[in-house]
Amino acid sequence: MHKDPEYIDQLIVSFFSGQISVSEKEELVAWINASAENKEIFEKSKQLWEEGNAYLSSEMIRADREAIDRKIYELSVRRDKKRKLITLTYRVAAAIFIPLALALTWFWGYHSGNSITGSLCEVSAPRGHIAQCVLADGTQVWLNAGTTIKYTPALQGKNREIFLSGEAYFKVTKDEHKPFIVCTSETEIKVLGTSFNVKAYPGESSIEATLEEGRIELLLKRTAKMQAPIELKPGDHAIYSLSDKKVVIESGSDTEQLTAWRDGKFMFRDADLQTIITQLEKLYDVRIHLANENIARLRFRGVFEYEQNIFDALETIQRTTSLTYRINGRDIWIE
Amino acid sequence: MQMQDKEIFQRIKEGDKGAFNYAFEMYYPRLCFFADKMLHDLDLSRSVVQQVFVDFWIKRENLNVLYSLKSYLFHSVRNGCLDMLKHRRVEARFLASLTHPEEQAVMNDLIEEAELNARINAAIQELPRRCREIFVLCRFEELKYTEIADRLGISVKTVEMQVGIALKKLRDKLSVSQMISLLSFLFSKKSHFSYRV
Repeated sequence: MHKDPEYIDQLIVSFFSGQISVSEKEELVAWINASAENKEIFEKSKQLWEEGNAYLSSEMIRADREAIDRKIYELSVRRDKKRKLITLTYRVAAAIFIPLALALTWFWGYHSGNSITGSLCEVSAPRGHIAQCVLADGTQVWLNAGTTIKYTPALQGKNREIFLSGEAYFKVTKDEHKPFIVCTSETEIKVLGTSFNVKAYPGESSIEATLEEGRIELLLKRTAKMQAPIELKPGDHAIYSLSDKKVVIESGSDTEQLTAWRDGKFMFRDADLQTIITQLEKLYDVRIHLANENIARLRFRGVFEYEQNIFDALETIQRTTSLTYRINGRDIWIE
Repeated sequence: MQMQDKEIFQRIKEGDKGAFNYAFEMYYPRLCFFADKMLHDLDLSRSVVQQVFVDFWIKRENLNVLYSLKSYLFHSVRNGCLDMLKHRRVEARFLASLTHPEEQAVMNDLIEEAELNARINAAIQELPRRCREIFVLCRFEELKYTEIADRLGISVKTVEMQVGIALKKLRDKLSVSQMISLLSFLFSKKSHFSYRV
């Protein structure tokens, strides 16, 4: 008969797990009854066996820990969504209230003869000059000749909103929680952090946006229905025609050419004279008159530098074509 | 050094994820075994306790450090289990026992049992890997020695020896004084135990 402890332990386990044979059971009973000490060992084992009636492995515990983190994450996301819905409600309210307030302000201002710009900051580049400024959030803005931007001093509020009239190049500081929005008369451009150019001169037939890097969304304001924003990829050049309310996107365009004005260059490739003179008018603060429509369609390629004066530009045109010019004060006639 | 129960509670309230982890490590198995005493379903118990931890973190800012962390967690798990039992419509008898004036005593008993279970659980986890594997299959998956031998590709003799070794190690691990106090406690509570030897 085996008496060593290991064998007894085997018998005890076999007994608890119901795998004991009749003869083994007799053996175990005899051992238990042999001494009080044996009986105590048996009771202790029984307790262990019965009380440890559920088992959690370390893998299960780890998996459960992860499940808790996942649920917490999901709940916090859902809570954020709920918050967003609340801000949306505010936005809708604002969408109704702000135009109303502006209309009233305008009405009041119009009738009292004052011009009211509220607490907006204003930066302008006069005709013939480009300007550069840095906003409170570190965003760099280059303003082409004849451009004005307006914005709240510290860019407070949910979004960083800039109102643009003219042409500007933006290098936006990244802030995912506070989208940067460029508002023009007809469009809104939403940005998270990127470099892009927007051209929206009053009186021109189109509004144009060119993306150099990053990602921007173009939102049209005056479409009949809510429209999904148009997403631009780097190199995209979007032209929004004000007359037919349509957007054309040219991909892979030469962004360098479109934004060359920042370096004080006016670059054009295969542009018609009408386009060029419009640019020259802004640049040099002059009025240019063309003798007839056919001249307007003549096409050019070349570079003007802002530092050059209007005479250099006119000389260049004269040299390469049969056209002549005549100057009277700020008015120029090309024939 | 161990953190004070109240201090952990306070730090969790302040959003300290480390303190939250500490509370989890400290209480998770105990709470699961406690829930299991009520639900007799370990998987269900785990999900109840998980929910308690999720709510604990989400609502931490609104909680009052009136009670100890331990009593907060056990009470939350108890409530979670009661909801579960109500839901399953099998609660009648158990609920009656819990709403009895002796409710607190019953709960304390369950907590004690759960804590013993947690200690045994921890001791099982400290067994050598192979030994633990065999013991778990034998005790919790209730496999026959021959089935375990087949599954692990070892001899029945080895299985027998390993479970014997496991039991001995567990007995050694849970110190004599601890066992005796637990045994006397348990035997005073459970005179209805009958052994057929």
